[in-house]
Amino acid sequence: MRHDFIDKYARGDSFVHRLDAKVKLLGAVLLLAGAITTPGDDVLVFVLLGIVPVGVCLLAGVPVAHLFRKALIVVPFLVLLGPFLLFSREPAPALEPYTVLGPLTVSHEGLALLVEVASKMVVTVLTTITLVSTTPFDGLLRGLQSLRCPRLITTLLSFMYRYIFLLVDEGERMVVARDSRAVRMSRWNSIRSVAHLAAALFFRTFERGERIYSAMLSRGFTGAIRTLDVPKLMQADIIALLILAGYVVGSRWLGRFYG
Amino acid sequence: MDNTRAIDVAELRYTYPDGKEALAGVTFTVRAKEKIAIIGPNGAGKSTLLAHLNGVKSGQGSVKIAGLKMNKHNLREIRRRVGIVFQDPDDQLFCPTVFDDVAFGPLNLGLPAETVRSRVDHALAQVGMCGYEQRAAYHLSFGEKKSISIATVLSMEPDILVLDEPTSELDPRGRRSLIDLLRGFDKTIVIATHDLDLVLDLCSRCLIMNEGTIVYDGASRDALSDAELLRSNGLELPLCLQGDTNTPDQSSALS
Repeated sequence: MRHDFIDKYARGDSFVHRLDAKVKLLGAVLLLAGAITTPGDDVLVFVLLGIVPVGVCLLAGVPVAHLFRKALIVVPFLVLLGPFLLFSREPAPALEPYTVLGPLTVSHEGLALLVEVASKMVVTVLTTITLVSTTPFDGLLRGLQSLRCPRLITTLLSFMYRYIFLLVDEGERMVVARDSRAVRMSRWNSIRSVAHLAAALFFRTFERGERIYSAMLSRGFTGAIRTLDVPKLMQADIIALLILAGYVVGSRWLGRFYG
Repeated sequence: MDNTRAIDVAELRYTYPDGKEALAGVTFTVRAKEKIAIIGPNGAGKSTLLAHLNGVKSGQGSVKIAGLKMNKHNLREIRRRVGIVFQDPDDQLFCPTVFDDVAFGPLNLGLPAETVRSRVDHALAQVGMCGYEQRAAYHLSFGEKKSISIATVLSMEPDILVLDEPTSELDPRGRRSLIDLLRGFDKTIVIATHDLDLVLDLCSRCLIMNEGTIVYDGASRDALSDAELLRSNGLELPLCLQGDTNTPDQSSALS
C-alpha cells in the first residue's frame, strides 16, 4: 500500500540536502526559538522568519506547493482554538472592544493573541516540514545522536519510523478481510470487531517484536546499538548555520526597531 | 577436531513454554560446503531447529558448529559463522536504511569503519543490490527485500548460511534468481522449505522432519520420488516429478 510520506523529497540532491543533518536540526531549533520568543505583535518578524523555510525549500528544489499543502495541518487546530482565543481576554478599559457578538466581545487583545498563536504555529510547521523534506529520517537520527540525544530515544524513533507504515498496512489488510465477510453488521458488532482487530494487531506486533529481536541476536546484537562515526562538519555547514543565526537575530532586532 | 563437519547436532530436544515438544531428539551432521534441505509439514519443528543453529533458541542436547560447542563463551563466534536469514524480510530489515541493515552485523562484530563499509559494498554486490544503500526497506519490493536480507548476513562473512523458507512469497522470476544466487555460494547452506522443486534443484541431500524428529536423512532425489514417504509426512511429489504419475490417473478419470 502507498502512504503519503511526509519525507517525500528528503532524498533530493541539492546544497541544502547535502548540509550536515546536525546543522539543519540546530538551524530549525534556532528558527523555532526565534519565532517562539518573538512578541505577538511583531508581525514583521514572523514574516521574516517564515520566509526562511520557504526560501530553503526553493533552494532545495522542494516544491513550495508541497510545503504549503503539508502546512495545512494547522488549519483544524486554528479552527478549534480560534474562537476560544478570540473571546479569551477581557478588553482593556481604555480601548473600545473590537466587536460585540451578543454576550461575547472580541477584544483587541483576543485578536492579537489569535494572530500570535497562528503566526507561531505557521512558522513552526513550515520549519518542521522543511526540515523533514530536506533531511532523510536516518540523517535526522544521526543528527540527533551527534547532538547527544540519548541512544534509547533515537533507537525507539528509528524502530517507530521503520514499522509504523507496516503496522498501518497490516491494520488495513485486517479491515479489508473483516469487511469482506461483514455483510450486514450491526453497529454494536462493528464496534466489537474493532476491538478484536486492535487486540489481534497488538499480538501480531508483539510477535513481530520477538522475531525482530531474534534477527538482531542472530547478527551479533549484544544490547548496544553501534553506528559508524558521524561525518565531520564542513566549512559550508558552519557558514550556513552562522548565516541563519545572523538572520534570526537580525530579524528580531528589526522587529524591535520598527515594532 | 574434525573441521570438515560444519554442523553437528546430537539428541537435540526443545519444549515450548506451553509444553509442546517442538524437537524430540534430533541428530544429524552437515559436512562443510554441503547444501542440505530440511522439509516437512508445518509445525514439524523446522524453524525451531534452525533457531538452534546459532543459539537464538537453546534446548537440551548438543549443537556444535565447526567443532565449537554451543555455549556462552562460543556464542559470539558461532553467530559470526552461522548467518540465519529469517522468513519475513520485514523482520530481518529493521534499520532506517539498507546500508544500516547490512552494516548491523559487521558493526556488532566490532570491525573498523573502513572494513564495515567494504563488507557492505561486497555483500550488496554479491546479491546484485549495489546502489540501494540509502534506500529505506519500506519502499522496496519483496524480492529486493529478500536479496538484501541475504546481504545482511553475507556481510558477516559466515561459513554457514541458514535460510528459512527463502522462496515463499517470491514471484517465479525472483525465485529463479534466488536459486541461482544460492547455487553460486561456496558455503555450507541449510534451507528449510516447502519448495520441493528448489530442493531438487539445489540440495543433493535432504532431511524430512515430522513431529519434532527426523524421519529421513539421505539423497533428495530418492526421497522426493518416493510418493509414499512424502505423503505420510504431509508432503507431495515435486511438481517436476508429478507429470509421470498424474498422467495415468488423469486418463483413468477421463475414461
